[in-house]
Amino acid sequence: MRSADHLVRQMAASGVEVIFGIPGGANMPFYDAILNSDIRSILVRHEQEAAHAAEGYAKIKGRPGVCSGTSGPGATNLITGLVDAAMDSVPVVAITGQVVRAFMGTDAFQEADIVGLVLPHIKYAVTVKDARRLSQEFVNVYSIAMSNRPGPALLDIPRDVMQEEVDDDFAFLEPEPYFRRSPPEPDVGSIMEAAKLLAMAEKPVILCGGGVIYSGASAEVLELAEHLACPIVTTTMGKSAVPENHPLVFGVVGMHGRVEADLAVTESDVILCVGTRLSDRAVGPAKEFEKNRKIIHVDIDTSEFGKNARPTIALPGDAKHVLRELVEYLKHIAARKPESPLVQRLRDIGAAYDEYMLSLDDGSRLHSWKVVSLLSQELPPETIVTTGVGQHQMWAQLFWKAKSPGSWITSGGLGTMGFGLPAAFGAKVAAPERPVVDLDGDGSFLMTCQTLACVTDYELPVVTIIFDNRALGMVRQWQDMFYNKRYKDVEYTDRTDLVKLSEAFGVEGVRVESYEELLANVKRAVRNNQAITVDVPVDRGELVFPMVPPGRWLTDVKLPPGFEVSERILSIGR
Amino acid sequence: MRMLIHVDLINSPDAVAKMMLTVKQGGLSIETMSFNSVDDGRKLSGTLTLIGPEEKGEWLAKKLLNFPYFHAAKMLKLE
Repeated sequence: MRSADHLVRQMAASGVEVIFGIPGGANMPFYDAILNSDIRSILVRHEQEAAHAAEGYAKIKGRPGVCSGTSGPGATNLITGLVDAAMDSVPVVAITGQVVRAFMGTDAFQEADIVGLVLPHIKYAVTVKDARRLSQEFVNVYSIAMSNRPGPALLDIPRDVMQEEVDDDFAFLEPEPYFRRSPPEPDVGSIMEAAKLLAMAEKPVILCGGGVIYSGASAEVLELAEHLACPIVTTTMGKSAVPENHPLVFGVVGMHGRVEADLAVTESDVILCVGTRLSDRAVGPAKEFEKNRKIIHVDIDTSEFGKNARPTIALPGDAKHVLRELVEYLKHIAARKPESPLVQRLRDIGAAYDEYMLSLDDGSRLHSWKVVSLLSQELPPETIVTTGVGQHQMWAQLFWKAKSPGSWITSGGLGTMGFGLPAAFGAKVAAPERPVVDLDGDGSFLMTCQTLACVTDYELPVVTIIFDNRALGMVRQWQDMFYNKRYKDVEYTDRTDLVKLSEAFGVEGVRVESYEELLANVKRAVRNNQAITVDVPVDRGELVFPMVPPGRWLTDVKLPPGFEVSERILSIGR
Repeated sequence: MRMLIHVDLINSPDAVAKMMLTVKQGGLSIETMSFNSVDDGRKLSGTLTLIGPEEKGEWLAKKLLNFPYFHAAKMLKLE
């Protein structure tokens, strides 16, 4: 059989069900082999979509999403999605065609050194030149994408390698030794030390990153928080690690964090950070974060310890495993604590912020925060939400209450505009029975809007809500705040009709003028499992607050004009 | 500070490139480096003298082990 047939057989045996991609000259034997298999191929309209759809799929399935492109531009178009996956630790496998071996290195038609191009941002990439190694290399790549800290990996295959005949003996292959490294073993001594620190803490806080979701450690986090009666906050990637309607969960921290979440961090004397790289966007300058508090850092990737902030205690290992031992030991040495005054005050501040923001609605226009808030109240708890990147993403982060683990999918590290719609499509492929809603900006939407063609063709209905301010809102906000309102290249005209654009792809489009209209359309689409694009006009002048200016500590937060919490902050300090 | 990094890696230009790119990510400067093939040419053994913050050297040695190109990586402080 051809090595491409052997590969596809191995892929199916490894559990691959879907491939997002586009065929071309160099990967045609691969697509020809897929034709003979049960693997479903989804024809996207641009390879970037394929990579983001694979990310959305992987996030829901908890196993690698697979995408494919041909050599040259097909492969290079995947790169944004692969770097996005690297930044957010998403398991994605890319399979690229390559020119035939004899032409490699000759600047042949559609030749690009895709392995060289992705190397800085990928766990492993290889060009397979020996057809007999192809299936084994796939198994290695598939395994490494998911093992320990997940991330992207790439298999590059010259066309003639795919066509070469190999033995048709088929055996299920295991990854080779260096591709199945065990996670670091938890250190019992350090866990006991950490438990003592938490037991003695006056104001402990738990900060969850995306690692909590991958590890499936939600129950352990909640058990620990309930025993300590301490607040839980999350990073952008950790949002939905724990249900946000739980009384101890206070939302996302950081530059555009919830005011009560940022306060929980600044007030803490011990912070348990789980599965997070402690990025500047989440915790601000490391020197400030390290000051006045002890840091316990749990991570499967030991290179994260001290990369951004120095931990007092480092706990290597899988989060679920480490937290399980931590909870058990803590219960032995400390009784369950009663609810702290800090928790109640944080709750009051959060409620006051919500109340203040909603009070700004005078009925004259639609407000982004109210749109998100209403959708959060009305949509089913199992709803999967994706976002683009920009102001709408921050409003979603602030006001969407994620209720099921892993149901929040966003581009956190790379901040890739255009992520939302293809990621939503990939999530819908993974979970066709669940409502999938893309909360998008008009700028982000227009970068990958052709994904709507797939929504129609494959009858996988995604609900797209466009926060339409006819601007690159977040860039405009920075020009407003840090460039003396000198706006440059951030505003669009209103000539692009997003409703007609959606209709052109075969997806119903509506422009709404009221919250009632919005909810009626969205609820109808969800109830009937229909695709819809809802164009929601919002004010170009909206600024997202809270906002911590770049490079500043969380206490330097700028609150919405008119919202005053200083008395409450002072009383927490006391 | 100066530090020595010893690394065992697969014998491929990609692995060496990944090594260099990770050194770059750590913001470390290179003083010397040498790679020799071992194990009948299947692997490379590399020694690098690098200059930069100690914690970046420690980060590098740990980070490399996230990638299957690298089989072992150790950092030794020189001064």
